[in-house]
Parts: sequence; C-alpha cells; structure tokens
Amino acid sequence: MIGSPVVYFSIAGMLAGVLGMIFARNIIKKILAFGIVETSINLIYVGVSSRSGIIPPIIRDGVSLTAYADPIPQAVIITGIIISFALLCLALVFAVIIQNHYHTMDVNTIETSYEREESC
Amino acid sequence: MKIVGGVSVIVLFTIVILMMNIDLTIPAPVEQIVDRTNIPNAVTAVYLEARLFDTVFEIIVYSLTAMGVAMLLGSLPLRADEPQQVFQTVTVFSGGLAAISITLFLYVVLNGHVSPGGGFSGGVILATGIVTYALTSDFRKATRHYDILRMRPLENASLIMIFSVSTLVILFPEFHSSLLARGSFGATISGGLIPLLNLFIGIKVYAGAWKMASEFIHRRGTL
Repeated sequence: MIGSPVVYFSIAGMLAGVLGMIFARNIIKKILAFGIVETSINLIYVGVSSRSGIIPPIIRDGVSLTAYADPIPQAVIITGIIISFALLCLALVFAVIIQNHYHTMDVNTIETSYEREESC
Repeated sequence: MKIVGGVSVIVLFTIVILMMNIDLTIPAPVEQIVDRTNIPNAVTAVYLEARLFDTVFEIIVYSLTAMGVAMLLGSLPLRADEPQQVFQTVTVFSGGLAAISITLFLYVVLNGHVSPGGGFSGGVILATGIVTYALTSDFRKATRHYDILRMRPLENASLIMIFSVSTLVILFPEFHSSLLARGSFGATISGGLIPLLNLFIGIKVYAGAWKMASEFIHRRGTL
C-alpha cells in the first residue's frame, strides 16, 4: 500500500469515470467521463513522481541534484496527453456525425432507430 | 448487463488498490540527463533527446488526428453563414488575449529548454488565444489569417523539418552531443537543435489545433 493521497484520489476518479462511461446514456456525457478517466491517469503519474519537499526539475545553481523531482514520469505523460487529446477529438467528431444522422444523443434511442433501419 | 459491468469494474479497482505497491523513493536520474544534454530543463532533455523517437511518433499521431478530423467532418454539410453574435466588451478583451498569447507562444517555445514549457504547450497556448478570439469576436477574420500567413504549407514544412531534424539527431548522436556541449548552460541560444525542434513542434501543434477547431466551428457554428 502507498501513502500518497493523490494516488487514491486519482484512482477514485478513474473508478467514477469508468462507471460514468458505462451508465451514462448521453454520448457527450460518456465522452466527458472518458476525459475524467484520462485526467485521473495523468494525476496518478503526478502523484507517483511528486513528494513533499522536492522542486521541479529545472536545474539551478546552489541546489543539490537530489532535491529535484524525477523528470521521467513527467516526460512520459506527454505521450498520454497527446493520445488522450487525439481520442477525445475523434470521439467528438463521431458524436457530431451521429447527431447529424439520428438527431439525438441518447444511446437507447440511437440503438432502437439503428435496429429499425437494419430490419427495413 | 450494465450492473454486471459496473460490479466487475468496482471489483477490478479494489484488486488494483489492494495489490498496488508503488515505491516512492525513486532514484533521481537528473544528474546523468543534465550531464548528457547540458540544458537546465530535465523534462525537455528527456523527451527531445533521450526519448526523441517516441516524440516523433507523438507528432505522427497528432498529425493523423488533425487529418482524420478534417476528413471525417468533410463529409458533413457546411453550416449556413449566420451573423455572429458578439459582446463588445468581450471583443476588446479577446483581441488583447490573442496578442498576449502570441507573445507567450514565442517565449514558451524559445525558452522551452531553459524554463518550463516547450513546443506542445506553446502551440496549445497560441491555439487557445486564437480560438477564443474566433469564438467571441470575429470567426471570419480569424479564419483569414490561415490563408494570409500561408499556414498550410508552413504546417507541412514544419512537419518535414521535425522529421529531418529528429533523423539527424537519432542517426548522428555524436554530432548533436558536440552541438550541445558548445552552448553555455542556461543561455537562450544553447541546447543544440532542441530549440529548433521546439519551434517546429509549436507551429505544428498550433496549426493542427486551429485546423481542428475551425472545422468544428464550420460544421456546428459559433456560440
């Protein structure tokens, strides 16, 4: 078990986001829940790489090298941010396309109209 | 079915929390990284020097997203050109915000290896300023700058330059190390090819973000 409360908060946020993705009926709300999951994952990295008493890894004179935060998780999370940005953009585009076609954002209504179209 | 999914998610997260054992005493590799790259910002040193190959693929993902958004939204009908409703106070402020964001873009991108910042954050700062101006003041005027500044060829040229410079750095690490060693630690003009990479990444990120936002506005209208 670990002591940093940030990690527990971010795991709680991930849980809330995943449950929101499952239970929300509106597509935009599903995408928002997905955004919460991504932000929580970024927060986990922040929580793991930060401890109290350390400073950002911008090297200055007169500060010992052990006082800086670990730069590796911060550099790795840039990949995560870019991927989540790409996924959010494409999800929003598909939401726009679905809205143009079915004129609704409710998942159940879209499913029933899709089944009706299929059976016709 | 949804209940089963929810319960399984809760069980999965409980198992993860019980099994999690992250060691918080990470040995700091700052010293090696700073010795190798001779620039103060260790994060930039990691993602534009040690993990440059990974960053190239991030740029590819970003470009593919911009392309995919433009292509998928291209199949939808354009919205009729309605007059934009604006508040005069917001118009004054958003013009100033755009000017500040241009200055901040140049500062963050060109100082990305000395202070916090870099290409990605700089591009997003500029795009935020311009998109705010487009949404709140004058979308047509904001669209015109894309043609006047020839952003489309500039975006493609910066993408090609990112690939060329990264290939140079990856294939000839000794050459880049000699360039890095020549700059004085902490100066704006130092860091070898890293400021150049930051500038091209900033232009690319800005152009892609503005392209995506303007495609959305073309299809869905302003506020």
